Amino acid sequence: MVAILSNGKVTNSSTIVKFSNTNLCPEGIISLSRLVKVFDRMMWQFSLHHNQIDNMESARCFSMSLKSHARINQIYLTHCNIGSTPEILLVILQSDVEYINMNNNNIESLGAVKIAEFIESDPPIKKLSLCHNRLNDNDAVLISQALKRNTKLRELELVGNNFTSIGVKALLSSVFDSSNLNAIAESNHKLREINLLLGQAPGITSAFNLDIPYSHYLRGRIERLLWLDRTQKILLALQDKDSLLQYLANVPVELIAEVLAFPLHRVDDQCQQRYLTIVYSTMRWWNMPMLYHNCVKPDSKKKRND
Amino acid sequence: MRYLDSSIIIEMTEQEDWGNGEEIDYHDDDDDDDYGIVDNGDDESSEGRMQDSDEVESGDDDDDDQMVEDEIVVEKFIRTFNNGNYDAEFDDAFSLDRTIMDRTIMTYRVRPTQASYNKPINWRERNRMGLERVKEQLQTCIDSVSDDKTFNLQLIHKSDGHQLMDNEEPIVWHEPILHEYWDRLEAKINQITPMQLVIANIEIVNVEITKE
Repeated sequence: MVAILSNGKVTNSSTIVKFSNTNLCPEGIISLSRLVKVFDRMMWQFSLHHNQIDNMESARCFSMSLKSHARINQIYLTHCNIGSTPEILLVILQSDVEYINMNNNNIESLGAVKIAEFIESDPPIKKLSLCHNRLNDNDAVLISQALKRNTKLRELELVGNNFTSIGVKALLSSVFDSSNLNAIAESNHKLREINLLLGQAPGITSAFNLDIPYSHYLRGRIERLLWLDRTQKILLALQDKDSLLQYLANVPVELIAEVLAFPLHRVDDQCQQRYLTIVYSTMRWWNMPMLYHNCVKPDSKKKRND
Repeated sequence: MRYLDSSIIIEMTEQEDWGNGEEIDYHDDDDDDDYGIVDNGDDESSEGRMQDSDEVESGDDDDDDQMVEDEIVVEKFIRTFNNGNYDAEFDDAFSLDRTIMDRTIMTYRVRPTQASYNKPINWRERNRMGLERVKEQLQTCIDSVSDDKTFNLQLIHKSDGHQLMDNEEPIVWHEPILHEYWDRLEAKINQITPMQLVIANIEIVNVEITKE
């Protein structure tokens, strides 16, 4: 059937190809991979849920077909037992798509090494779902280190793994490590979502009658942390933190003004308050009023006088 | 974003008035109007309207207070999440997750991964209803194949969320009787002029596909 479809019969192509729980054999996956090449114009989503992918040749064929495909940017591979063969996991991860769903794949520490390796290579993927696998705190540390090298991933789904507070802190630290300014600079500033907690998802909180303010949920607080951009992280870390201001003191005085002024290039009236505040705090610490003249825009001085 | 704004507004107010620290207005005027509208125009209703408005303003103040409080909570968390103060909270949240997942697994009946590769002894009997449905769906596919029609290959058996009958399997196992349908479908496709077949979607869910 697949061979016939891929034999010059198709004039327009499918947008979605979904083979979910079809007990595909390796040869079936290879045939499907060939079919995908035929569906080159419209197809953008490929699902193979609940099919065992445990053969390297079929995995390579699958991955190659996606790499060469112009439009497919999402692949869904839940319940495919990919974690049992980390080499296959890596091959599939390297399929050059924007979203891969690998929930429920029995991925353990050996797989986590491959995932970290993949993330660190800064691939084009924007969203990676790894929910309900068997990742632990050590794996979270490994992934968090890889995240610091990544500039493209936007969302990471990790609900239902074997994490404790240690793993969560490691992952969040990859996004915001306020120990010093270098650490902040080296943090990941692109990741906008790390989903770790199932019970605090909006639908489930209402189902469980958890009636407390959203920001009091860890999930809500984590989301807010991830909203911060690089500048906001620096500003937040600088507030009331003499150790960081002390760190700034090591920067040559001539450069201080620029360091503090860089956010002003894109400042609006509303945001100006926060920059002024941090400049003010810094000035107090340094006792160098000259910085004020360098950092504050003239129109804000005018406002103050008004 | 907002937590920074609010926190800094507070800090500015406490430390020194720089003259440009106007509060961000989170109020929605339209909402206020809606609250204040009363359906008749007598004095009593006017009083009621005034009272409602006051209540609304009071409510908005409460909202603002709550918002500021929330911002403080969030900011404190961001500054201190890695110092150990939240360990118990994190672990409690994960514990809740495990409880929810255990319950979900208990109530979620369609679990093909575990079931699909372990046929029960009486699988043919349990396959009967699903097999009939797949035959019908294949026949629909066959009928829809023509030069001027969009062709959908959809074979779907109890996709996620659908409850199984007691005498059903979560997957329709392949049986030789289906070969006939597949052969007819291929023959029909072969009749089509090359490059004329229009395929909208290929969707096969919970139906076993065997080697050809």
